[in-house]
Amino acid sequence: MLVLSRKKDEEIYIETTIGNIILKIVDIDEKNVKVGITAPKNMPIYRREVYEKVYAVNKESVLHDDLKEITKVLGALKREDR
Amino acid sequence: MIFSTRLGKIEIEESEVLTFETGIPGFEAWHKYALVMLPETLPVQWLISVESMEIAFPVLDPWLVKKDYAFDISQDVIDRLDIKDRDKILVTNMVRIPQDNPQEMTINLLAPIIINTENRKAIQLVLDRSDYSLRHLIREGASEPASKKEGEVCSS
Repeated sequence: MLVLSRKKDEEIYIETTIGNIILKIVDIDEKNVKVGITAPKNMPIYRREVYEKVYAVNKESVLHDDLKEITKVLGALKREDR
Repeated sequence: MIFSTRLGKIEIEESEVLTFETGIPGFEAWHKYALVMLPETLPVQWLISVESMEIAFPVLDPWLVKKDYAFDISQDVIDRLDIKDRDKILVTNMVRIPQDNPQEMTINLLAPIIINTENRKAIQLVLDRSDYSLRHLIREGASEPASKKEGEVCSS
C-alpha cells in the first residue's frame, strides 16, 4: 500500500482512465480525518464497511433456490396473512 | 425480444431494460436489468439481469412494509440518474427469502433501488442514515402498531 503523509487542506490527486479523483484532507482531530472527495459523477463512493455490508446482503438476496419452491413459500405466507 | 434469464425465457421490450451504469454492489459486472412481475409471486416482483442467467433479485414496494419509509435523494443522485421529474422516480427494495425459514423474510431498507422511469437509469442507493436496516424483518413491519409509525422522525 502506498502511504502518503498530508497536512490539513492538502490534497492527493489520482489519475484514472475514466477521470481524475482529488482527495482533500478537510479536517483532522484526535479520532477522525475528514476527507473531501472530488470524483467523476458516475463513480460510486462508499464507506468501505458499509459497502461490504450491502454487498453481503445483496449476495443473500439473489435467488439461490428453485423459483417454484419460492413461489410456494410466498403463496403459503400470503395464505397465513388472510 | 426474448431474453434467457434466471426466471426462464422472458419477453422484454428493449424500452423496458434498466441500466445500472455502475452495477449493483457484489454484481458490478452486469449493468442491464428488467423489472418483471410474476402474478404468482406478487406482491414480490423480480429485478432480473438480461445479461446473466444467474441473477434475479426478489424486490418489494417498501411502503407495503413501512408506511412512513422516507429518505432524501441528493443532487448527486439526481445528476447521476438525470432526473427531471421527481414523480417519475420508482423505488423498490430487495428482499431476502430464506427458503427453509420464510418467516424470516427481510427487506433491505438501507439500500433502495432507485429507477428514473423516464430514461430507465437506475442505481442501488446506500442511504446515509443508520435507522434503516439492511435486513428489516417483514413480519415485524407488518405487525408494527400504527401509533409507533406516526411518532417516528422522517428526514424528508
